[in-house]
Amino acid sequence: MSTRTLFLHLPKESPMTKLHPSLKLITLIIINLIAWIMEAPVPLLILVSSIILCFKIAMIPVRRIMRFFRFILLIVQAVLISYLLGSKIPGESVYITFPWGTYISETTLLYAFTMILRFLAMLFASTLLLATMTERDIVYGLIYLHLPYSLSFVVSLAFKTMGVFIDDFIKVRDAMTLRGVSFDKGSLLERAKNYASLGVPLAVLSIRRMIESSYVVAMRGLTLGGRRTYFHEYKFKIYDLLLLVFLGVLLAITLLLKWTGPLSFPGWPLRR
Amino acid sequence: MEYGQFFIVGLVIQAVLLCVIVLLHSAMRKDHPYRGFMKVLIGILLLSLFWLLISFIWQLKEGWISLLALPFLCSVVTEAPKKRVTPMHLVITGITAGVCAVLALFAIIFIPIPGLPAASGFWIPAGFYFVFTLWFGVWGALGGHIATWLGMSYFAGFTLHVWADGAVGDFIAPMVCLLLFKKLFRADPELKTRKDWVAWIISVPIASLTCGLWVHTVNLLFGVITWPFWWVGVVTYFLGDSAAVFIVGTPLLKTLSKYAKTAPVYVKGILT
Repeated sequence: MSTRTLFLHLPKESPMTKLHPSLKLITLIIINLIAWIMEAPVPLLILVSSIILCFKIAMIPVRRIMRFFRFILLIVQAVLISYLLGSKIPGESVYITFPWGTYISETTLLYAFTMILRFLAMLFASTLLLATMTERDIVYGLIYLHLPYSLSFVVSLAFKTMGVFIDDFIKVRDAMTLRGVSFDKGSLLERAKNYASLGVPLAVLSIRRMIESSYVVAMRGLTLGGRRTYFHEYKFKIYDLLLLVFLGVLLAITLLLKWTGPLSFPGWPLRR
Repeated sequence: MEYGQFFIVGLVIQAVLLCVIVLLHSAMRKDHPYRGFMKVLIGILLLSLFWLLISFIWQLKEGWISLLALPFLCSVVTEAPKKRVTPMHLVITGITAGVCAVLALFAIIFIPIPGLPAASGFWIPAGFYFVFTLWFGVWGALGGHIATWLGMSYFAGFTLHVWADGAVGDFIAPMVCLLLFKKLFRADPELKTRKDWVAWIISVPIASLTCGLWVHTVNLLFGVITWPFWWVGVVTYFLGDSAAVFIVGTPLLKTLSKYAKTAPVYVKGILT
């Protein structure tokens, strides 16, 4: 048996299915923060490796990371271009000096590598968590974090509207095709104009859905405040608390080590 | 100029300007037409002082330029709602988010920018959420914020960088346009007169520029780009975003504003 999450079917034996939904959101935020605070390459490499190991523990195929391969390549490209062509980070050896004044030293390469690791850590962590979450987890996670119910209602409605809007788009496009509009033929400008002409009926449909949904919401007595009950209930278990404490301690240690120096970039302060 | 000197000079200039504008604001009578605008200026200077401090901490000399981004939001806080905020407003946000999230996915898939992750050469949802913000106030902008977060995160992971960069930027941009269009110019979304057209043509590029400044300063803070590429990013963002809003948004405004105004979901002010 498996559970359908946002990206895949996750085996029910996976430990991630047992985690409290709000803890999954907290883990996502904390790991992103930790990755952002760290600036040293070796700890970041350890963090990335640990996250990949967590994929194995959670029984998520590591090849799931490959869906982001194109994005990973783009990030690596963007960071490298930016730092190699546009930075002046001094080091012991300058390899290339450009006519516009920037240069590449060994510190430049190390810093670019560190930034890439930071992004990989954030990306892999969010993939790990999102691969184990359902839409219900996101909504109930927000509720159990004691955020306003309005926020979870809006997120839930957004997810539902996405599917409905895709259906509307297909219907409107097919209706226009039946009336002789071609979305595949013609110059780029003609095709762009044809696609842009879809905007007006889609906007009208969206406004109508807003009106209908607001009537439905009013008829069901939805209010912004007040006590609510929920169909699903989640209880905090001992392993949830242990994980929460572990993440809190990890974040505190990261902040301390960044402030005292070990997690700062080894090339700072800049050698002139 | 040494960094410390820059900080002190910036601090003194902004403190003096703040005192002058606070005095002018208090001297104005309550129904003075520019009193609201003065509040915006006070917000600008308060947040620019805050941003100056942040950029001093991060040794980010260029960061103060992004002070244009956040302060316009101050006037949202100063606006007293004339009607109650109801669940209808949440429905507006949820449906806008769902619609624009799908458009964001289309834009990233069909019109990507080589070298820039989870970005698009023609950000179609901008046309929609700018227009929805003019029709539905802050609720449309919140929808755009959630939509960009969902759309970009599908490709780039639910990372802190994506939220701070694209999602917050796509809240700031339509809000700046709304405040300029409705508060400053007091223009009509139906674009009936020349003044309305001038307001639209001026508001959109300023909003896009503000968002570009924000997005690329966040990229700078996260280490994705370096300072020499900051200007490149801002200019390309400004041109691409403005083009998308003008091409997609203008027909929607001209054609559907009258219909939107008759809908019960139409929001006259910023919040209600």
